[in-house]
Amino acid sequence: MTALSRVGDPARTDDFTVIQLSRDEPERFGEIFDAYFAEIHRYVVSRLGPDAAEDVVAETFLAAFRKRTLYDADRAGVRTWLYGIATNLIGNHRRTEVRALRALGRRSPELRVEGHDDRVAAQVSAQGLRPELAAAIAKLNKGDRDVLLLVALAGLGHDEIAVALEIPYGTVGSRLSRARKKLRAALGGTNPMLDLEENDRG
Amino acid sequence: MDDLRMVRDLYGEVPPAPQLEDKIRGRLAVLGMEHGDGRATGRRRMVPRRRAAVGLGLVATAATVVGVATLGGTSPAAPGHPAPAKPVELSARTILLTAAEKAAAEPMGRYWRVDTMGGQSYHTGPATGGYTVVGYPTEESSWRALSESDTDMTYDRDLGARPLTAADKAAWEKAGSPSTWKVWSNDHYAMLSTKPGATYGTLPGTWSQSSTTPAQKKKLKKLAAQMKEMCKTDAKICAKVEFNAMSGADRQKLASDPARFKELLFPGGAKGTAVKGPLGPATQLMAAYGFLTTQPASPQVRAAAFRLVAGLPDIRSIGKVQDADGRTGVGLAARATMQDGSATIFDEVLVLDPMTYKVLGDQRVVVKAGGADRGMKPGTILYQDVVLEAGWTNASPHHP
Repeated sequence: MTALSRVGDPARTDDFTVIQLSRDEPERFGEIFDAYFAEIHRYVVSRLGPDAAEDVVAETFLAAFRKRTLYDADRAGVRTWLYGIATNLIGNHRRTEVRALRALGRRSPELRVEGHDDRVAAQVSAQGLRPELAAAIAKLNKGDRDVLLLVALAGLGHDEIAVALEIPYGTVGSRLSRARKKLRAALGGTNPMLDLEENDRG
Repeated sequence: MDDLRMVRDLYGEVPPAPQLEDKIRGRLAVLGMEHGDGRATGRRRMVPRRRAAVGLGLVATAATVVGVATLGGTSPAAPGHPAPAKPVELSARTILLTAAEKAAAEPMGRYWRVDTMGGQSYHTGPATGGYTVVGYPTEESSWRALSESDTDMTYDRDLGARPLTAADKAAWEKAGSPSTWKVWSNDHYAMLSTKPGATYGTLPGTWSQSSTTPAQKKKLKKLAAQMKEMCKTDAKICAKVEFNAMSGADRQKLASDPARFKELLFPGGAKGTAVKGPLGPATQLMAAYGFLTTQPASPQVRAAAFRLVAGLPDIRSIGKVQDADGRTGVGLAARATMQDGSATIFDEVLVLDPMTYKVLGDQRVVVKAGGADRGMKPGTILYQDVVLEAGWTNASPHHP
């Protein structure tokens, strides 16, 4: 299964220029939208499910457009900035997120036949643990969950998350390790297929 | 497999949502156009422009005084008969029809070039004893290519805020020549600075440039076409969208279809539910000025635009006027009220060259100041856009 990998960042070095131009030529903001819609949409739908996501995705870009003159390139890349806005908006939909997680936990395994036997076996076990994992994520406090999912789903680095959520750099690491500890505990901390290394700085 | 990987796998993949993407893109574009200050392509700078939009009938009854009608016998549109240089005796209609005739005879070129200088006025200090400054003064040179396969260029720079008139300059010096002013603009305080580029949100003091490549133009056109669906509830936006989506050939057809051109240039009031009624005459005049200066239209279409303005009932000829640059022109005016909370009554004035009938500029002139403008005498130029040069050219884009 492909991770939600980073898209768009390296080649789009001129995001800042585009935002600058969009101050005077609002149509230019469409370029930002085109570059980041897919991944922001993926992130929000993952967390809230497709129905609630629609408004949140729209509002993320509309808010970014309205705030484009306030965008500070020295602080954050455009991508980080958008994840920050989206994450804030998701925060208003806590119950929806918990409901979405419950649904995820119930989803029946989609087994893939291709690939190595070991991998298939690992997936089978992982699928079996879905409800526990989903419940554990649902139980995390909001701040911890935001950090966890910005790492796992968005692939943001600690520095980017600090800027996106407007929290100190060190807080990102402590929230992440707290979240991961809880997940492991929920999954039965000794499960051999889990990577137990406390390597949060990845 | 680590726990982060398991989290990713739990969430799984999300199918793409092209329809939602189009929908949001459309909403953004609508928002962009609203922020574009009503210019057909939004190419103008997004300074926090003071709101002067005029809604339905705000001034329609006050301004039904049609221009001074003394035609003096000669047919206004007779070719080879330039109107006499006594503009004060001419009606608005005559002046505009003459302007149409002149516009139709202008040569075409590779780029439609317009150099302008603009700014908006703010009163600072007490109503009596204060003075007026020009904020967000910018100089711009816009080059819009005739061909879709040429790149458009815009150059602009911030000139730095300054006192408006010699009297304002004297009052400013008396006040110790401050280099910044805190002024109320629409809904917030803005900090103006005499130093070019130092006013928040504006350009650097040096020339900056932006381009719109043929590929970007194509994209914008496509976007406008997509948006036609989105704008059904607001005919005003629809019209802009439609104009942006038009091919050069379709735009050319406007020259011989005044009804359709009128609907595009002065939208509203026709169909759709959310339409707040027709534009007021001052807004119509602004729209016409915007079109005549920013659009790379053919001489025939430009002439048609002048004829549309000539057909508007509420435009008055106010005779000889002096523009913000000190030049003399003939003024065509429509009265309106500022919508920024000041309720200042002003005349929107389209200024034409008395000899060539080319557009010299657009300015808002105070009739009765209110709110934050209190202290501005009647005749104060509230907003100025001075055309330094406008016309088709074969030169390559560059700034002045």
